[in-house]
Amino acid sequence: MLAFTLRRLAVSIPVVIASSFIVFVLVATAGGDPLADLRLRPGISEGTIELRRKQLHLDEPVLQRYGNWATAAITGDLGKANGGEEVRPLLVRRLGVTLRLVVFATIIAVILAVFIGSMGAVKQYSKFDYTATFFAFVFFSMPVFWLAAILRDVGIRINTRIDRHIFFVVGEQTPGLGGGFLNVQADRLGHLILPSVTLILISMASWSRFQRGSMLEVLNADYIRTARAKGVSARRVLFRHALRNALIPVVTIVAIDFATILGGAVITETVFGWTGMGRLLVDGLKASDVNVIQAWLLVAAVLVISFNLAADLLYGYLDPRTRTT
Amino acid sequence: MADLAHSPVGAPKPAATDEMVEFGVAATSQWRRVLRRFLRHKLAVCSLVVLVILVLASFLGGSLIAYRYDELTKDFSSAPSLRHWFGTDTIGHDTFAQVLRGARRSLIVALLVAVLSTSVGALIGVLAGYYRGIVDLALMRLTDLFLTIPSFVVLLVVSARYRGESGNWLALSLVIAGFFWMQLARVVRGIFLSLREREFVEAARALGATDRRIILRHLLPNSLGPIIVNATLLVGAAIVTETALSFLGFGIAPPDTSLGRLVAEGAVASRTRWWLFYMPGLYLVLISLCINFVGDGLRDAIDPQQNRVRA
Amino acid sequence: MSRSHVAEGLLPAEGDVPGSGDQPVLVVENLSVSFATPDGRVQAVRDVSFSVDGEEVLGIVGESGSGKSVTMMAVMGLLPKTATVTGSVRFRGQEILGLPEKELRRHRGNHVAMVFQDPLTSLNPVFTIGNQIAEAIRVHHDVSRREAMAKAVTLLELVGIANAGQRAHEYPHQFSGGMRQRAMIAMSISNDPDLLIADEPTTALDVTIQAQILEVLERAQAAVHSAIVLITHDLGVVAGMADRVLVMYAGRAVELGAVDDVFLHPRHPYTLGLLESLPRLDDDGQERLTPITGSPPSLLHPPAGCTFHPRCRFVRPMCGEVVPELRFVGGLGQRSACHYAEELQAVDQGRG
Repeated sequence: MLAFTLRRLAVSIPVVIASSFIVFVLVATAGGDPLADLRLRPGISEGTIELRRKQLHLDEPVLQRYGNWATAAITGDLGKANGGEEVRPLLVRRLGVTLRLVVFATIIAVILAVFIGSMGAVKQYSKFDYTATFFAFVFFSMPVFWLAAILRDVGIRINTRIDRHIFFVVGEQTPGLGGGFLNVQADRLGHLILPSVTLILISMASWSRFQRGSMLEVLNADYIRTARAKGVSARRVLFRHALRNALIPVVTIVAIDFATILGGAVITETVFGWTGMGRLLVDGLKASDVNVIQAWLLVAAVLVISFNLAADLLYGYLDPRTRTT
Repeated sequence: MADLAHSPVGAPKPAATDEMVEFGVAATSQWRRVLRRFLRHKLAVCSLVVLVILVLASFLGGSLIAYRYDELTKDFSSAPSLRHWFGTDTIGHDTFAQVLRGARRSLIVALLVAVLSTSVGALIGVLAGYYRGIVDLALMRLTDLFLTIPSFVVLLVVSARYRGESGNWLALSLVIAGFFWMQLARVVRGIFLSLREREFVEAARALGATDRRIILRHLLPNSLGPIIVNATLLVGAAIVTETALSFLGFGIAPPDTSLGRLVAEGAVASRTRWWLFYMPGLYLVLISLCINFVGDGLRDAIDPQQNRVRA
Repeated sequence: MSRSHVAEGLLPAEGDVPGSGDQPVLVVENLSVSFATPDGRVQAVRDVSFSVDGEEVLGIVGESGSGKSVTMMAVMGLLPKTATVTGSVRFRGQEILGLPEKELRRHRGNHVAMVFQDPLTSLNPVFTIGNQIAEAIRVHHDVSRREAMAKAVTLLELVGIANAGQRAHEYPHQFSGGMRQRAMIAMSISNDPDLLIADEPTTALDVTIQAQILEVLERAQAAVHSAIVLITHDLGVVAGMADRVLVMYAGRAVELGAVDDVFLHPRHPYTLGLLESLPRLDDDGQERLTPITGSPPSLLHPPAGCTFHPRCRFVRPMCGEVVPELRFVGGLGQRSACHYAEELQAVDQGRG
């Protein structure tokens, strides 16, 4: 298993490099003019703009710029934002906020999807199955921003109606809240609810369908019949023999969808006014803040690839066939 | 199983259809069978009817209803009524007229994205699956790479360039299409890899058919079902993506509008003038839901064996 | 699930059948199984009766769709819920049909065990071989994990797997096809069953492996003193291993008897057809192989009367009207469901 892990790790490094290169070139060639924002500001001299141009190496060819940027990035130097502050600490702070949302939502969504999908397969064509299928289609068809905005709207309406603040609809935590660690965590959890529900409903929709399909296929497999012929109880057949096999393809899907969830988080954060990675990106894009955008995309790529790596390892654990090849 | 991506169709089709391709009559009856199976799928048929109505309304809307989208009526901020089905905004615009106009733009972008990305995806899948070897390796690594990039975020970055430019819908469609071809490429490649070893291809090759002819006459018709299904579902995915970009302010720019922009504008006032937010959103979700149901029905009809594992 | 119990007296005693021991392990009476499908009711098994004695090997022969596997799934209590079953299946005197799932479970894998056709898909890919055998033991016996594993290794040695102690910790994909089937056999005898059902145990394997597997099956039978029901479409396998043979066609039993009797003196045209379509080693190459004409009937709308009559070369008007009973023909317990079974004697002479 160790060799397997190392091999997979080795494979992901070139992927990170290639991915960061593609993204860098895209931003450099297709992104907006990084100096536009600066030019529009009043009282900025030609000299300052020129300085920034130098700082961003805009006068050099793209390949060389990538080299410079990548070398600095490896040492942890992600450059300065347009405003002059260091990108790295900014990014780290925002990342914590966003990861809280993404990880929490992903875990809950996977658990619910596996449960609902498996139930749907076991009770195929039951009322439960039809209901789950219908709602899966509805949420699958629903844009994240609309669902987020609806939940926010409904949250506000409920708060107004009962005249109590039970749903937090703005920000990731109440600013300046004291009262010790537990109090802060409870407050964060409160703020987490509606944005998480948004991401959970949307990702759960397709995953539960996938789990259902996978489970149906497994339940028809010969080895399930063998297990039953051995006298194994229905419950044990389901949980021990079927579920583990059915999870194997689902792991891949969740990993592939992680990039999508990250995109969904950007939208959700925007709707709920979080100061996370989403806000950082949207603000950065509006100001054509190249260093922020590049660093953002690098972190996103590393996240996606790490998540895929974790999925690969889980896959190897679940399916012994992949370990030896 | 490791390759089991989000392919809505996945593995190749059952063998029964293979030998029918060369013979027009048999091929026709195959499509007739598909049609019959699709018509049995009530939800999909209903969705198709609703979808056709919604699309027609969006494209003919202007001439069908009483108000133009830029007409300032005397009703300000009125809730939905018989006069204004979707209500009006603060300065008296009829929301239904606005929604139809927004939907038209959203649909045009989505259709364009579907056509473009289907062509690119099919081409890459065909090349990789038919020529295999180094071509396959290179193209599939590229595909995998694109799959690891958080596409929505990169879309945001790239479309930021066209932010605020009026008439940017064409550029926007191209950019979105650039990130929507990967799934189909993998599906088509899979089908080609398995089909090119089949007897009827061997036979055609033995008779001296060119690569071009084998691809166009023998292999592509066999992948048509999955391609159509995929393209249908892509329209749904593209419309959601375009509206999301527009919602964040990186998509369709004023004076042009799309459903996403309408929702974004309506969201600000969702508590006082709910219809400005809910009506465009409902219209959007209805379109996307219908497309997904139709796509699902098509998939079942084209490939009844393959309806197990699906998203 | 409705059941019609038939008085035992209606069935002739089986005492005079060769290979019979004391009390039969399995008695199947008037078993019918049908499935509701969107196109109508499929009658997979119709009115089948037979019995299996202790330590006897009964071969069940028929083409796919003849109902042989469905019959044995009914014996295992593994038919899907959509199946309608009538008749009686008694195991050591106890009625199996209609038993609650909990009791069926005690019976499955313990008294009756099964070896399936495709050892690749019949073993769970994510558990080790030893683990899967040990599970079969632990389901029915209160033993520790370690003890169960030790027994699993012993069983693997019995079925001829070298280095069993180590290989028990390997996964199915690390085993060859023949090895997997050996493991399946080891699993099936892990609880000393009274009856072993082998459903096409060699069909998915290379010809060179087939004989080995049959030999392992015999060794396994000798070790646990069980009876075997060997389901196959391969007459050669039956000739080599079975004591008696039951021939099934389109859900019905058409001939039953000792292997030598049935193979030398078939009393049903379908059996005769099966035998004639076999290449014979002692043949001088002069005689042609005679395939059975036509194709198997639809189980949705089976032909009236004898199900075989549309393909039968001896067909007469009565065949399309009256369903023939499986009745005694000849003296040695051989039975046939053909109205004109006796006339096939003439063919015996012809075949030499």
